Amino acid sequence: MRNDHDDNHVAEVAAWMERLATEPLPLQAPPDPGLIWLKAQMLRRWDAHRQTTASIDLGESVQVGVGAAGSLLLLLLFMWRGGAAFISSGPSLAIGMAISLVLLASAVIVAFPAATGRQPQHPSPRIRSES
Amino acid sequence: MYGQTAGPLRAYVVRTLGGIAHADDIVQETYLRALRRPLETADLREWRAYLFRIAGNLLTDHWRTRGREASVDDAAEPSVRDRDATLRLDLGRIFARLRPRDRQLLWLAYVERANHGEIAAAAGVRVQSVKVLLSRARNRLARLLRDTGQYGVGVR
Repeated sequence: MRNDHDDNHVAEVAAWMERLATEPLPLQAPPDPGLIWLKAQMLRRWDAHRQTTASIDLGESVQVGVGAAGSLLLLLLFMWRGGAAFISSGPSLAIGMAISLVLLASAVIVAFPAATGRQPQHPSPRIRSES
Repeated sequence: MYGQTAGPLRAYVVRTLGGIAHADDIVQETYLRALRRPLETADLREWRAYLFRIAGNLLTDHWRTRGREASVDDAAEPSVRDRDATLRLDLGRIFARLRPRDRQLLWLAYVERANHGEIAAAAGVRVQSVKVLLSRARNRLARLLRDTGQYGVGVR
């Protein structure tokens, strides 16, 4: 619904806004365009770098996941088939178990920082991605 | 491009924020974002609309971060009745008493002379809402101009 006073205000507001637009702004020196350009180039390089290393990061995650799953499987297999009895039956099984435990532990150590949200540092903390 | 857009963009950000605090940061970040994902065109009008849209997003983020639709300058502002004659003539201070969204819409409409589509894109509102929001903003400014003795001064 149109406001009754709207038409009366249009000319008045338009004229006043024109006056406001001509008022000098209380500003200091404008941001240096050279500095902005330099920062933008750095950010673009940073974006390109992240894009390039994204597949490597993904590969690392897959590697850790497969390692963890494999060692867990070995451990479960060992436990299912008699545990301590196998250790006494030969040194190779005990070594196998130790290796699987070491693998599992190292996978957890590698995966833990990633899971807790460790992110690469951004060169400019004020810049957020445009979503 | 910077030379032709920086002035209007800074004026828009400063007037919409209602003060200079954070204004240059927002202007700088606007250009950084624009240069990070540049338009493929060299058309100044499209670049200008793009910059104003980014600045609008940043202003909205700024207000959300602040948690309220008011600036620090507004909080420090004296009441209308307390103003002396000098303050009455300070158009920027009068304008800063409006809500940020109203300031944004009025500036885009009357200074940038943006159409409803451009206003909607820059302010992050629906095109259908622009007319109503603009009308309300205009009424609030008219009321404010009356309160400050500015109504009728601008029209010659």
